[in-house]
This record gives sequence, structure tokens and C-alpha cells, in this order.
Amino acid sequence: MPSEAYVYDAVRTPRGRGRDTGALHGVKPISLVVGLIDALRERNPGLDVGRLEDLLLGIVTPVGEQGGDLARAAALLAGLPDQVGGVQLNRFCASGLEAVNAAAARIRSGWEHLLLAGGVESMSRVPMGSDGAAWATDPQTALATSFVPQGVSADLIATLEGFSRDDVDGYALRSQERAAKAWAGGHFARSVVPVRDANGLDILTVDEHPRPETTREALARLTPSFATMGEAAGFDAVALQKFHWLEAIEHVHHAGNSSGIVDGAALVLIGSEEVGRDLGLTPRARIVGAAVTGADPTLMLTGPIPATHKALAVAGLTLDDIDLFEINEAFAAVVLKYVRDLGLDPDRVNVNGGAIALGHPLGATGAMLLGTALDELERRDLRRAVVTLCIGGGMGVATVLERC
Amino acid sequence: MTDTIRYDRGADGIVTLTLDDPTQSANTMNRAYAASMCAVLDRLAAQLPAFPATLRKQLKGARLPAPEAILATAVEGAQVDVETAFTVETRHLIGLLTGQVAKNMIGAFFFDLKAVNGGAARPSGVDVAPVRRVAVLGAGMMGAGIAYACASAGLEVVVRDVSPEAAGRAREHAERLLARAVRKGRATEADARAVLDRITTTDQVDALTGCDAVIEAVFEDPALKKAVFAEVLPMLAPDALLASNTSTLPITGLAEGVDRPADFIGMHFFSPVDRMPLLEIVVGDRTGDEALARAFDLARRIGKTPIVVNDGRGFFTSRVIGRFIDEAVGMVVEGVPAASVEQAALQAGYPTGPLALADEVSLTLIQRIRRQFEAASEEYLPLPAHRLVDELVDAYDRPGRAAGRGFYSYDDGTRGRLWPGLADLVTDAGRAVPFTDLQERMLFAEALDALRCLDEGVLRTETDANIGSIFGIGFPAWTGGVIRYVRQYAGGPAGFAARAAELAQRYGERFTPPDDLVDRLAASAGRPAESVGTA
Repeated sequence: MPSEAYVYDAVRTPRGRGRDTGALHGVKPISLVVGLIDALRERNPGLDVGRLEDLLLGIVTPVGEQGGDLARAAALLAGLPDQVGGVQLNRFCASGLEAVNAAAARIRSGWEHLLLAGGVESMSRVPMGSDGAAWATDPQTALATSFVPQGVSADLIATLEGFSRDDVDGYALRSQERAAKAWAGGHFARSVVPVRDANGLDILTVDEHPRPETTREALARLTPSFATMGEAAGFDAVALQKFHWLEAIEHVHHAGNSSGIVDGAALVLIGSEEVGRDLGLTPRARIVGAAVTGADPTLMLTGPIPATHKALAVAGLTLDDIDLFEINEAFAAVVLKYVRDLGLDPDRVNVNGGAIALGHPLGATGAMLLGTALDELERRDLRRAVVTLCIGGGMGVATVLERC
Repeated sequence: MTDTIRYDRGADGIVTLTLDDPTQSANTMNRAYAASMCAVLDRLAAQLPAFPATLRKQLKGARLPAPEAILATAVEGAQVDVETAFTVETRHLIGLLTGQVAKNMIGAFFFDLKAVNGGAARPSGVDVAPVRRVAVLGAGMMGAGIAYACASAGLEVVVRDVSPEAAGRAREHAERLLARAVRKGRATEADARAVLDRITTTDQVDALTGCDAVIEAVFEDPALKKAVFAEVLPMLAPDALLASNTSTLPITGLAEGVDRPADFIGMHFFSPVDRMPLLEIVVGDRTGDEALARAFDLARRIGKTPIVVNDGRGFFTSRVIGRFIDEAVGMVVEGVPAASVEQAALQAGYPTGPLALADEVSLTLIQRIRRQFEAASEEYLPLPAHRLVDELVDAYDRPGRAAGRGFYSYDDGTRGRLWPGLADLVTDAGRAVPFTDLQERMLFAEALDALRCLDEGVLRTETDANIGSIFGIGFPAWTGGVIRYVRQYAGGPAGFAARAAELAQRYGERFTPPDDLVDRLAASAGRPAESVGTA
């Protein structure tokens, strides 16, 4: 009997700075996942792991210690029963939400009843891009499809939309302020599970990336990150050959208004109504719509706009029905464009900051945002949220969440 | 086994291999080699994403199949063993060899070029005395360039201008080019000295005594040109070749200024003379075969590729390139973003965007030439493009690159951004025209006018049209030339005619193809230069 897909719980690690001085640099990616599985079991005493069927993990750089289907290895190491499978999937930056949506669809199929979905990325240990990519490195492919790196795409969006350096810096500052306020106000308390070592000692209990002390002046001093790459390596030329009415790309993005490189993991417990009843778990929300779609690959980062429309159509809802929006802050211009195109009230978008302040652990972020949105709906006693991410290659994934 | 190989990677990424035991087997050596190659590929991998982008930047977006296939072959081949790599290479090569672009380019750069340089347009059986001593009238950019070209080829040159200082510019120009050649090792000091010794500069008419050819390169004013010829004629050898370097003025009219028009001919050089290989020889109504033969031989002697055309305002090259600039400026007037127009041309394979080109030529010159056309012909159609050029020159004082402002702004000679004020001078801001239409409007405007040049007899052969268009006015080389572009268009001349009719419907009568286009091209097909695909 097909069922609605319910979210029973959502947890995440704090995000550690994604470099060798980051707090989580000494923690293996598998350990981050196992820690969250343990936490879910602790938080939900009724959770009978014998009812779990699969663990879906988004991992964007699935090589080395993140390779070889880390999900299965993590399920085994966490002591889940042998029958619990594990699958790694990759939809670049939306992988964590892709895992959630895939799990929700499987629950709604009626074939399965209880799944764990989320993602992990130790960017300090497995560098972004170290898995190669035909799109970037195969000349035939890159030439035919106008490949440019994401940062150039973000600057291209800013140029097309007329977002100035001041506009994107202003947004970045707001992300920092909102994240600081959210941490101070305990808005993340329900989801964040400290990372502890084998001796039970805390390694990291809060997000390490935010810079609450940042000022507009400090941001204004940062050097654009993608100007050299764009100009010297020819990527600006590639973009301008396609967006031919522009004469030049204004490089406005830098480390301070782009998502932070961090380590982290997140998991969401998704199941049918029946399994909740059987195990005495209380559903926190339903996934009422989900969608993936493509958009222009050179512009690359506008996918959340059509994905949101598509997911809302699936849910039979309109923008007016949505209380909160969580869009991944890959780059400031991505959010500004999303807000502009959908005509949103900025005060309903990323109300607790986002990846510019908090960081973007690639494979995990989508699942993290889902938890953040759910916590905030509960805190404000609101009903629905849209969670969405822009994606490499020009895609978008969106999920519509409704509290029970 | 591997423990006998020491493998060190330096900070610069360079790998050093040390074999501990010199008696190791070949197999071990191979493994060491493989390990070093992996390290090299490792380093290369980080650079890989930039290669295609750099290629697209260097080619300005023109999608030429060979450079892309070469890059693909190199990268794909590096992933596999050498035998497989050869197979991969062969697959790419076959695709190129059988492709239309290779046929086009072999047709132009092998067959057509050979025909032109081999003298297909030179009157056969006309024996003429070679030119030995050339008088160049005018030491401006063109005159100086022509003098240098002649002197470099071993000819004696006398350059005359109104004052010794003015004439001396020709020598300074040669000195500059020779100094560069010596610096780059292309010439010795002695060579340079010998070339300079062959150049005499003067303000005296007497100094031209005995010259057996004159190439006039003064300002483009018919009265002035006639006057300088009248002045120097008495000094020259009685049968001297009389050549005018003009880019647009009809030769037949200029020949009226001399008493032996059979010896009068047009020699249209392109700027900069030392780098542009083309020479457009213009035969006036009364030009004799001997003059043509002498001009042709002179052109070959100084290393130029001479196409031969009949008289007409703008001849072939200046007339047809005018259609390119008119069409491009017209699109700007319509409201197509100027940057799109430039991109469309560059991505179509033109070496320079039409607006940048117009600035280089100077809008004032474009305006003057057009007014000459207007004055000379009642049929001349005023175009919206003309209004924009007039406004830029007359109302906004943006006459082109030399002044530091035209379609673009220039900072100390370096091209900057397009002038933002352009947006206010258009009729339909932000108009969307399909990108392919932008490209084909320029290509077709030139191709259709080249067809008309053939009709009117300005062009004598398709071969001259193809070579002249590529080497003189930057028609995209991948096409194999302006008429071959028509022949190779998808569907052949019929496909071209159908597309032209479509463009005529959308953008104006000027795209209406000649009625007999298809039959005419079919009738003349199969000549050696055109049948390269099966040759």
C-alpha cells in the first residue's frame, strides 16, 4: 500500500573548516556518518534498525576514503544489520537532497518503508575535483558544451543581472549576521550533533566556518577569486561567446561571498506512515513534492528556479503557499537571482544564513538544509518550506516540505 | 620489484627516477617509465580544463574542426597505450579529411592559390621586360610599405614626396622593419644595409629619371592623383608602367590623366603592406595586356599574390568588404547589441569584428568612400548603417581608432570597450535576431555581392574571388573563399539560394539571390579548382 513519505528525524554534524587546520580534518568521513547513525539511534529509542532497508549517501568526490560505496561500509561499521544496504549517489552540490528525494520516492512507491538518506563530504581530506570529470577534462565534451567553472558562472549571473560587488557583498554580510544570530538563538540546536572522538571527547560542537566579525569593509577588500581563471585560461571568452551580448564578465565573487569549503555530514530518517506507527515514531513533516531539472550549463547555477516551479507543481502548490525558502548559498548571486526571479520576500529566504557563513560540505549540504528548514518551521510554527540547491552542470533540485 | 626504483617528485612537480640496480630487466624499466608518465599526466590533468577554453579564446569562438580534433587526439591518446592512441588519432583524422572544411581549405590554399600565383590571370604569351627601378609617389603608410616591399625584393626604389622630410618617412619605415628583422634573426646587418641602399628618397621630380615603373600612392583624390602623374611622366622611361595604388577609385577615370592609358593599371595594395600578401590588380577599360603582364610580374617579384579584376568603383575587395561593414552596422542600428554583432562575426571565422574593423579603417574614410559611391551612381541605395556612421563622425566626433574613439573607445591605442552611447542611437533596442542569422547576414551580404561582381564582370574568375576574399578582406578561411562558400553551403548553390531568399524576406531585398545562380554555378562547376573533393 503506497504511503506518504514522512520525515521522522534529521541530524547533522557541525561544519569544520575544510583545510588541514580544520577541527574535522582528523576525522574520517566514515566516522562522521557512523556518528550520526549512532545519534539517530540514541535520539529515537523506538528505532528498530532491523526495519531499516537502505542508507543513501550523497558524496560528490567519491574517491579514496570516500569511494567504494562508502554508504555500505558505514552501515556495516555502524553495526546496522547485514540486510541494510548502502548506496552512494552524486548529483554534485544537491547530492544530499537527491538522497532525501530518492528515499522519499521509494517510500511513496510502497516497496520500502524505512530509509536513511543524507550525505557526507570531508573536503579537507578528499579535495573537490579529485575525482576528475569528463565535462571539465575531455576537450571534445568541454568544447561542445561550453564548460566553464562554477565561479565564472556565478560572475556571469551577476553580470547579466547587474548585481554589483556591493550587492553580493551586502548579501554575504547578511548571511553572516543571520548565521550568528541563529547560533546565538539556538536555532540549530535540534539538529546539530557534536562530533566526538572514540573516547567520547568533543571534537567539534559548533559550525567552525562563520565569521560573525566580518564587516562590509573587510569583504570589500577581498580579491575576486575567478578573474584570473576567467581571463587567463579563457573561460570568460567561452562564456561570452555564448552570452554574446555581454562585452565582459564582472568578477564579483570571492571567498567571502561564496560558499565555504567545509567538512560535514547529515542524515534524515524517512519512512512510511505504517513504520512510524509500528515503531512509535512521530512524523515531523511530509515530503509533498520533489523535482530535478536542468538549466543552461554555462550559466549553470539558475536551476533552483525551474526546479522550485516543478516541485511546487508536483505538490499542487504555489509560491504563496510557502512560508520559508532554503536555497544553498553556493554564491551570493545565485540567491539574489532566485529571490528576484521568483519575486520572494528576502525575509523568508535563508533566514538562518547559509553556506556563505556556515559552509557547504558538498554531498551533505542538501540534507543539512532540509533539517535547517524543518527546525525553523517548527520554531516559528509555520507550515511549508522549499529547499533547493543549484548544481554543477546546470541542474536544480528542489523539495517541498510540509509539517505534519 | 618496484623497490629498486626511486621515484622522487620535486616541488616543481618534476619527477626524477633512479634505478638502483643497473642490471634491471627491461620490464622494470618499462614500469619506471609508466610511473613517470603517470606523474606527468597527473600534472597535466590539473591543467586540462583550461585547454579547451584557451583554444576557444584563441580562435575567438570560431569552431574550426582541426584544432579541436588535434586537442582531442592529444588528450584522448594520452589515456591509452600507443597503438590504441594511433587508432584514436586515425578516427579523428578521417573525420577531418572527409569533412567539408578540409575540402574548402585545400581548394583555396592549394588549388586556388597555386592557380593565382602560377599566373592563370596573366595574359599568356606576352613577353615583357621586367621592372628594375620603381618610382613610388607618396611616402605615407602605403607608399612606404610599397617601397620597402620593392626594395626587399631587390628592386631600386625612388620615393618622392612633397618635402625631403616627408619622403624620408619611407626610409624610416624600412629602417624600423629591417631592425626588427635583424633582431629576430631573419636578416643580417648586411642584408638590411643592402635593402636600405636601394631606397632613395627625394622631393625632386628629376630623381625619378629612368624609372621603368611608377606606383602612385598619394591621397585618394582623383585630381591629386592625375596631377602627380602629369608631373612625373616626362621623367620616366617612355614605356614605364603607370600604376595607381587606390582602394576604390575607378582606374579608367584616373587613366584619363595620362597620355598612354594602355600602360595605366591599378595596383591595390593592402595595409600593412609588409604583412598582407594580396595585391588586387585592376584592369581599366583601356589597360593593355602588356601593362597587365608587367604589373603581374612585378607583383610576383615582390612576393605578392596578385588577383586580377576589372574596373568598377571599389573593384572587388573594397566593394565587398563594404557590404560586410554595412550589414554589421545595420544590425547595430536595428538594435542588435554591438557586442553580439562582433561575436557573431568572430565566431563565423572573421579575423576581426566588423565594428573594430570599421574603427581601424576609420569611419571618416568609410563615410568618404560611400559619398563617392553616392555621387557616382544614381542607383546607390541609402542604408540605415550610413546614418549611424554619419552620426558617429559628425555629431559625436567618434571617427575611429586613430582618434581614440569610434565604435570602441581606445586607451593609448589599445582597444577598450564599445561606446555605451551606441545604445541610444538604435531604432529597436534589445532586438533579438537569431545568432545564426547575424552570422549569415554578414557572410551572405559578401557572397551575394561577390556573385554580382562576377555577373558584372568586375571579377573575372571564382578563383580570384576566393583568394581575394580570404587574403584581402578577411573572409573566413574555413569557407575556402567567398564563392566556394556558396558552393559548399548545405544543399549546394540551391541551398544557398533558398537561404538567401529567406534572409531577403526577413531582412531586406538586398539578400535576394540572382535568378540564375544555381544554373550558373552548376554550369561552371567541375573546373580543377572546384573539384577538389574528388581530385
